[in-house]
Amino acid sequence: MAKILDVSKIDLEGLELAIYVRRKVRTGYAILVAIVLAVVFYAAYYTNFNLVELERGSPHIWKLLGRMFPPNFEPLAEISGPLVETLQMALVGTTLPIPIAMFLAFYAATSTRRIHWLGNLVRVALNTLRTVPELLWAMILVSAVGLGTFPGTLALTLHSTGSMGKFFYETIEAVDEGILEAMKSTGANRLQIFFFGIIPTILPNIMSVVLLYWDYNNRSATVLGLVGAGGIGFLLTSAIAEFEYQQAITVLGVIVIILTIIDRTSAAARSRII
Amino acid sequence: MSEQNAGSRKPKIVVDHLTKSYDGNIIAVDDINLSIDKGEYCILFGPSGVGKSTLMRHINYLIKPTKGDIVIDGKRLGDMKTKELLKQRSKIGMIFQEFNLVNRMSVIMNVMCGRLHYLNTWRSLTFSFTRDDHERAIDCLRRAGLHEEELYFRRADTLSGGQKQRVAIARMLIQEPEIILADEPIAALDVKNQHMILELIGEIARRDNITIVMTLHHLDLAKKYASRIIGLSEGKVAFDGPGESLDDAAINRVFKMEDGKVVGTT
Amino acid sequence: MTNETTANAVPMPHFPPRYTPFRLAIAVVLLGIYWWSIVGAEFSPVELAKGLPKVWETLVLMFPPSIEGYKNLWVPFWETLYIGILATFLGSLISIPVGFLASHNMSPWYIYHPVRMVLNIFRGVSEIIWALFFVVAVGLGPMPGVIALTIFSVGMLSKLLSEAVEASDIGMLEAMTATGASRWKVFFYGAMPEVFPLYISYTLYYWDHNTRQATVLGFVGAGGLGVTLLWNMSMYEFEQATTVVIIIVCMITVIDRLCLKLREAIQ
Ligand SMILES: Nc1ncnc2c1ncn2[C@@H]1O[C@H](COP(=O)(O)OP(=O)(O)OP(=O)(O)O)[C@@H](O)[C@H]1O
Ligand SMILES: [Mg+2]
Repeated sequence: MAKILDVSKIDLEGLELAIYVRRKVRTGYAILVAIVLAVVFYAAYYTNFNLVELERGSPHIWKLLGRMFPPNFEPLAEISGPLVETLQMALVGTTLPIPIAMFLAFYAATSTRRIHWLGNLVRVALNTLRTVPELLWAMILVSAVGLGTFPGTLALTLHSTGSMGKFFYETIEAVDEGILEAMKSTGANRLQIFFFGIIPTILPNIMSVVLLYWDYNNRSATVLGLVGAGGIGFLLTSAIAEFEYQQAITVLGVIVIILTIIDRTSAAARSRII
Repeated sequence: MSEQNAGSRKPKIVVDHLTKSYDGNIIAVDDINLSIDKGEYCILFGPSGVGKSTLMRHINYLIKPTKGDIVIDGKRLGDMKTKELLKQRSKIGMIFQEFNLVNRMSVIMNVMCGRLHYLNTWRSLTFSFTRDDHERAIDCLRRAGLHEEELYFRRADTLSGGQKQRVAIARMLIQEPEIILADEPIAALDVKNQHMILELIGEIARRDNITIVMTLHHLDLAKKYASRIIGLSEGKVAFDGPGESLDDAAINRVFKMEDGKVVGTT
Repeated sequence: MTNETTANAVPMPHFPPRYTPFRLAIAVVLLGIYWWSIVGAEFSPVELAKGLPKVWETLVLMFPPSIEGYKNLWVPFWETLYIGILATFLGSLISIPVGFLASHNMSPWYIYHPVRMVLNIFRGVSEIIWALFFVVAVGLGPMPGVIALTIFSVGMLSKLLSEAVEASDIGMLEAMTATGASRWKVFFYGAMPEVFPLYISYTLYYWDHNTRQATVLGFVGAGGLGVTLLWNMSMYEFEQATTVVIIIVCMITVIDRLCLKLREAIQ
């Protein structure tokens, strides 16, 4: 991992040169580490994060864990509805953004866009959609349209559109110019190039990212209930807020199992695609 | 032949009924018995895929045998504790067929990795080898025929094939091994360097009485340098004798070829 | 032109039929599931037509953003930033040894299986839930936020690191093993140099992610801008909430750009 120095300009030989290079490299790393540590320590100081405090809190953590057992399986009876709802939200919130993001990426990517300012505008829009976390979208939307799965799904859709859109246009820009030129030379128009040249080329990347976001959205959908945007999150957070830890652990257990299964499935699918 | 003097002298390496099968059916090494004395310059040859590399990997215990064992200095590798095994490995220098350099590390660091066994925990974690290690590394690189000093600080993946090979040889040299396992150590080298490296290995072997096991496809070179030549065929020993005794008939036997066709093949 | 004649002369190969009953059945079932999901997610066009005007109304309420009380935003702003930095730093550091333990070519099965199980739990539970849990355990403030994001990052980064290590070249690992290096030295010198750029780029990605999540951890009382935001929204101070959202967008955008530059630098 040594950084490459221009050693031909250094008037040293053999061991002296080696030691010199080592000292240079080490000094570089030492400065880097010092900067990072300084920032981290300041951050810890600012946020009052220290191990003493953590140590003081740890008995509470264990006590809390203790109060989760034995699990109370009562919620299992009412869990299926919200659980299915969660998965449905995630499915729609992952698939709906695909065409939207693709459409927007077509206008945003430097290799396919025609109107410069429109492309930049789309980029800013996608960036805004992406940087606002889905839970925040959900909160804003719930206060707009009221409780339910609709704002939750919309929140997932907005955030995923931003994330996927950014990924799509970056991938489109990375597509080999030669492919596009070959298509152009056959007389294909812009749309045809996009559909027959670009999409097939980036299809594996698209699939892999879609699966990734499916995973991500499934997890996100489990907490949207916190702000009233449907799904299993309401059951979970209210169980914790009402100190029903034995019920909470059951719900959590179900979530972890379901998410693990989905994670495995999508990982298997991804490895088959790539 | 070695079996005769096996009783009088203690052999350095004993390959004891070694069998290795992959996935239960591909038999790479089939019940091989060998006894190699200290100081022998032993060259393995045989058709591609016959199990030469597999045999070499076993001697360093990089893979576990399906049956049988390797005995070095009278100690069975299979019975060794992890610590002992690491110690043993540090005394065996190995050159891989594919060089196996760490691409993103500088050449000199790659060479110094040969000293990892002796590096303490703190130095390991901070990637800081000692001054002594640096000195040895430079010495070994020079001995392996790599004199351009600006190469030492380049990333290993920017080197040419022959340069990589010499770095791999330097990494072996820095271990100050008692046994050298060399898998095609000169495949990527030009004629001059081929002789240089074989000379070098032969010389340190004579000087320090080091045992060498090498695979080589150049049979004329093998005859010139080796004190003993072993031919493998279908995972078994098909020829075993001193360099001079390797004739066309023996080569035919190892490669399972018709007479006449082998003439001119080296 | 002779095009037509040549085209006719070549016998057409027999293409397999595109629409077999089996494929059609699968398509119908998938469409059924999808429709059912859309209904369950209340995402029908009708809902959309009803909902979007309301969203628009709220958006109108949110503009123009008000900078009133911007002084109160400094502390939560820095808090959010520092929560992200701390969690990413701790998470990336911890995930090195944990990633080692979770790789099947580095650790024996009786270690990596349990470790992976724990990592599954770390990842399977959302950051917000972890934060909620630690708020209950150690009290309000940025601390539970840092712990929550650290746990989640360890779960993610360790998994990604172990996958990268498992995909690394066996030859290099073997070469290190052959010199008599112990397992973790093999990991450090044989695998780490190769996976390092990947590890850094994952870490940078999770810095971005963690900072983004740090902005909403405040919803459960785990510090940062989320606390302010929750307060603004519950007070119907939409114009001030917009300011916070704009700050979040700018913060994440800057971090994203920075990550891009850093990633280019290490390649
Ligand atoms: N990891 C493995 N899994 C399955 N089969 C293997 C593995 N490694 C080696 N083999 C098989 O074992 C046999 C012997 O391989 P080995 O590498 O020892 O051959 P070799 O004699 O070194 O050949 P070459 O001269 O081409 O280097 C081959 O048939 C090879 O396909
Ligand atoms: Mg081989």
